[in-house]
Amino acid sequence: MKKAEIYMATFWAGLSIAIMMEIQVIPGTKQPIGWARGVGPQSGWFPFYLALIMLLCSLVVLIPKLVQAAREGLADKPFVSMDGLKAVLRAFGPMLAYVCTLPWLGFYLGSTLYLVYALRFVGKHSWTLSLATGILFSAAIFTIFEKYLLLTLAKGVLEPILNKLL
Amino acid sequence: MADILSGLATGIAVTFTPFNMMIGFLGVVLGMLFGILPGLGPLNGVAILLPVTFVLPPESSMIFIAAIYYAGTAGGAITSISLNIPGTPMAAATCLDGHPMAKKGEGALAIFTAATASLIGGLLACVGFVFLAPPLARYALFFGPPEFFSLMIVAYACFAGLGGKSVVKTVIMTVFGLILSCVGMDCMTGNVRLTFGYMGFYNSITFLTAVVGMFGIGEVLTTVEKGIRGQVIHPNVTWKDYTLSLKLIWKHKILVLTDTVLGFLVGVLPAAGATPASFMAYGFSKSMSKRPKEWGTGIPEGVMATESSNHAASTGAFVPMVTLGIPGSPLAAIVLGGMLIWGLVPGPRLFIEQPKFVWGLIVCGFVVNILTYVFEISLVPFLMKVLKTPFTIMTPIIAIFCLITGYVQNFGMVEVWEVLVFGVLGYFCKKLDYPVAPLILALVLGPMTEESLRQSLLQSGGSLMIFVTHPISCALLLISAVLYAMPITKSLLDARRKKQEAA
Repeated sequence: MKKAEIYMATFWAGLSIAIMMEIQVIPGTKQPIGWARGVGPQSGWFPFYLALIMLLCSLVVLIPKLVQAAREGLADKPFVSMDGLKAVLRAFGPMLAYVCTLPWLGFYLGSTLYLVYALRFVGKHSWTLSLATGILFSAAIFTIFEKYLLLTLAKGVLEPILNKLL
Repeated sequence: MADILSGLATGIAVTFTPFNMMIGFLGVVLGMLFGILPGLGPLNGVAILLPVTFVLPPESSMIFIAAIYYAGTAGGAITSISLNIPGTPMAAATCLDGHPMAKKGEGALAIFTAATASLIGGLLACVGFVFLAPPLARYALFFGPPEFFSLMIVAYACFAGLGGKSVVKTVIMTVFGLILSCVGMDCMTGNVRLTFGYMGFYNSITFLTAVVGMFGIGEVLTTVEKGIRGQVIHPNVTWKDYTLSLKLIWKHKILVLTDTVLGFLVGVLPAAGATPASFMAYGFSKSMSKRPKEWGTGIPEGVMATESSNHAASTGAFVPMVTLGIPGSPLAAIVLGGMLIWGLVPGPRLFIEQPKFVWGLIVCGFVVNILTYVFEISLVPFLMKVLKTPFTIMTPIIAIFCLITGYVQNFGMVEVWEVLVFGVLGYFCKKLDYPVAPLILALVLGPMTEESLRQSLLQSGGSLMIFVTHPISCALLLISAVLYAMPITKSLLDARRKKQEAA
């Protein structure tokens, strides 16, 4: 847990420095942080000082943890157990694959494949349940979104076929 | 009094249309589902289903959300009682006596008692709302930019004492939320900020991607990691249990009433919310009880205390949100964001400009509580089956809904990725005790905070003293200082006590 705490605090500190750089150093994204007549504080003022506060706060979290780690060493209970990590990755992996393939598969084909995979191989449910859920779910969201809400979701390779159904 | 009656009449006219009643019923069913599923609560239900409301008129949206909220809060008790895992955080205290009752074979009695107690808590709190909200709103009418800025500082400060254990972590999340709200176009100068040169950030970061990411995907990942273990105890449901539960409630009416009042008041305090309210009520009623030693062994009073107070608090949390624009709980913060998208500006003007909405909200509070009650009481055996829905089915379905929500913000992949990133961030934050709710609140209130701050400074010519010289603003800042200081002093005192004990 200690290591994770240190990484997280470092992440916040790094992020706040990056934000301050973005506002003050990087050409092209620079914003004025001073005072302008008639405008008051300029556009970069608020986020810049917020980032400064965030940096200070992350140091308040980070420094005692580092001192503690130097004194007692880093060994303690792990951030996540092996079983826990496996469970999280089994849930997150397919999710990530779903998002990565969205531009090609689209929401409807993608959702069916994702559900069938997640139910059959992660949840170890029967093929019947997995296939039924996957197909019915996609059909349901297709009807709701495209027919009733008139919101067009990405359809990917199925675009020509699905458009005929509308 | 007359304006309250006419207001209620407006509300009744808004609520009792066939369409709104149907929407309300749908909300109750879905809310109950979210409440019962362990690991997900009304908070997640509202977060995940909020996007659905953007195609509805504001009044119907409010009824839908209120229904999910109340039904979810009520449904959580069923899980607490029969599984000993709180279905929702606010039902955590209900485990204390509810589960021992189920073990003794009194599960049905516990569920009925919980349902009736929460109905009473919910209804009475709605009455409290009617009388408390209008005067509070009138008072806030005199606010200018400095007062509004200080008020928002109070809103952020409220979460310091609530969310995680560390004030600094709460501040980091609040500030990060404010920074995220700056991404995109600056509304005062038109400059495009904080894009890191990436075109995708030109359309600012909507609070919805953060909400569904953190409360949807992040929460699912946390739940999956913990795994849900536990034995469901199936009660035998008979009508005799129901009549007995009514008799018991009548016997302990004083307890139910005091805990309702207590819960409501705790709920009204900004950001305190229903979870602390239910634990406080439990402790209070235990100390008042004639048989304090038996609390925790499975007595109905324990269930009554927690359920009446958490429902009352859930309603109370809407009072500061509707009147001042300060959400009384993390959930109210999400609803506040929804209100902005429905085109409503929270704050004192809401009562004058949107009477249909405000009174509709109040009346639908009554209606939805009753709907939830009838639904729950008549379908207990069926609801027990929902408890067994495997989480492996829920995970992908919730993920898909969250990702679609991201997509429809702008019909592009940028927001889909944002949802996923917020999900991962939410998972880490949750594990390391970084509270998520302040980030959401800051993302919602961010633009208003920045605008009021910059306007005040423009008014004062750059001097920060303006926040101290305006009396109301000064008082609000003092309140927030106290709110920030409280948890710090408490932890210092705890540390000192530990040292003394060790010595």
